[in-house]
Amino acid sequence: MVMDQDTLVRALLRERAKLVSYIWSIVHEPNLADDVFQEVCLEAIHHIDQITDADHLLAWARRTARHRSLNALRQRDRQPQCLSQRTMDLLDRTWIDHDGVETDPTVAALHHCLDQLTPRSRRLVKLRYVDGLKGAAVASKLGQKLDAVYKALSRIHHQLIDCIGQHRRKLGEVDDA
Amino acid sequence: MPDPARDASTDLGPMILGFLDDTLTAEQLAELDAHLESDPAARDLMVHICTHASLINEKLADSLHVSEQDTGDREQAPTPTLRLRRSVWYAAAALIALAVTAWFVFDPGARSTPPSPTATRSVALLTNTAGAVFTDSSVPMDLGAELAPGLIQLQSGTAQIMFHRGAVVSLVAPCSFRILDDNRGRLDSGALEATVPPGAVGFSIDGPRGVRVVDLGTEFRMVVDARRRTEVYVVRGRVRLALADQPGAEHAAMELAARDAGVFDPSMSSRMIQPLEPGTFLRNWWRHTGADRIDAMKTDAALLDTNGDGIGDSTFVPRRGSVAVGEQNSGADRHPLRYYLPFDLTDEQRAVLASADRIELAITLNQVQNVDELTMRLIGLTDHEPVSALPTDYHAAGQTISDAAMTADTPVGPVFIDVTDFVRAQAQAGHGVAFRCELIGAPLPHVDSKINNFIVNTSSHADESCRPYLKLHWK
Repeated sequence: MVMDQDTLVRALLRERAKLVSYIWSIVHEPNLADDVFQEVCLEAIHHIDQITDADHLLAWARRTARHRSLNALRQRDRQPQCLSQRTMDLLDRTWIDHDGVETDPTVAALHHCLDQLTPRSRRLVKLRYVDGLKGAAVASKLGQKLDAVYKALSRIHHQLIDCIGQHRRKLGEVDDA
Repeated sequence: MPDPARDASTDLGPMILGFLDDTLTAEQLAELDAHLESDPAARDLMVHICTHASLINEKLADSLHVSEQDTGDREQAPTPTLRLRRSVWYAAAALIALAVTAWFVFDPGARSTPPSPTATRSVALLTNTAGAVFTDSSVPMDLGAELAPGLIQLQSGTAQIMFHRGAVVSLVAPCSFRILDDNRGRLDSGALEATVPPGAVGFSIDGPRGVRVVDLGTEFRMVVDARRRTEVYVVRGRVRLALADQPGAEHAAMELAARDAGVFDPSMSSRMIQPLEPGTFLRNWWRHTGADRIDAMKTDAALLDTNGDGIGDSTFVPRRGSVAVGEQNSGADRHPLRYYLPFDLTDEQRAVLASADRIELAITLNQVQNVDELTMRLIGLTDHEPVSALPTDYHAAGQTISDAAMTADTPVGPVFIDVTDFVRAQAQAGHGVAFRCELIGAPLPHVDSKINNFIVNTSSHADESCRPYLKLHWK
């Protein structure tokens, strides 16, 4: 049984965050990630007769997104850094492992955990991920070295990972490890 | 054993962040690749970092307010970034693109439509036509039509145009709009809303008597009324409202930021751009566009007091997502059945509610079964912000708005209850609005839990049109 168009569009929009973050991990440009996501959506509509359910859709969309992302990069003058085929395949499996994690509870937990950060950390996150500044621009704006910015951001990501896990365990959304 | 992905000395986070920034050297890239290939924890970290980044960007940007006090940063808050605006634009444009493409893909007739004579000079695309009726159009105004510079007269409905440079303009009838080129238009009368992505910054719309709105990267609304008065309101970003034929003249230009409004009234003796009270614009916008309702929130809004302890039982929701179903089928006592109608308001909705002349709560009574006596008491809940916190705070201060909003004699269909004073006061105070509805039924004739003693259904899971809403009236 194939999906109807309305269900397919809703499923794509529901999984948008997962797919866009996956695409971004390849193309390294938020705007290009948006473009690729749209192309994937359009291709899904073209191939709606081949998609059976939401799980199949996500797997299909990820394969297509990877293909489209690499194509988009080839069409650009500037090539971002790329990982080996073998590593990308392994990363794909990790992304699939994460597909089972619902987005909405993660967003709620992330929201809570961002509130726990220090104002300086929150500013760093905002500059990098909301204002969209690259690491060098963030470093320049804050008068820091690039390496220091990466280390600070890395420390923040680790804090967020720990905090999200604790928060969701506390709410009973995930089992105690 | 230490986790290699996060051990301080070998933390791969900085390297992953450098990779996503394209700043690694070839050696560093090879080293990262090797780590990712050999270490599942490193791969996990990479997925987490990318997921955090995407979710923060797409869903949590507004939650990252950083005050000047917090950071010691006194610089002016930046305007919304290109990235954000693009994201917002795409949220709408993705659906437009899907709809347009689906139409081409699935409607065989669409492909056989003869090419529009405008195709060679096309500067825009007709991307949505909800109930649109056009007049005086020299070309077929079908969904997906390529549009050349020229006049569009929209008699009824709405129409959406995507300029080739990327700006999206939604026209609301009645409206007279002229496409000038791939990044410029003119509104002679009516209302429009423009969303401008980064590539189209500089997009401009002229109004009557030389007034011009120039986008500085934004989303804005514009109304030209029957007296040729031009009002502009900025939803986000910035625009410049100016008299194009009087550059440099005093009061001939004004830069508007988010939630600012400006007006040019050609009937005044001196030609000048003036600020406008944003609430005045919003009121005019809603009236002009025919918007007159605000829907109740849907999620988890139904709470039944199934065991008569006076506490809403949030675990028993007969049809999740329904907003108001009252049913009692066991127990000999008479209990009120209660549920909430929460309205989580935006700033714009508050401004409009505060200026409305009359506000009614509309509830649709769908079904009444085995009911001899029934009263629906409507209580406006106060001191609730946000209203979504209600389920954890059932017993709340409130005021009775109506003690017989529905009775056993109320015919099936929509019921309108005047809630003007309560809602206006809540909106003016900057709060959301929440009601508690209590359905008080007759003594129950049956104790058998399999028999429905009475049912009062004021909603329909399947029928979205039955959703309760606030209806606004203006004189």
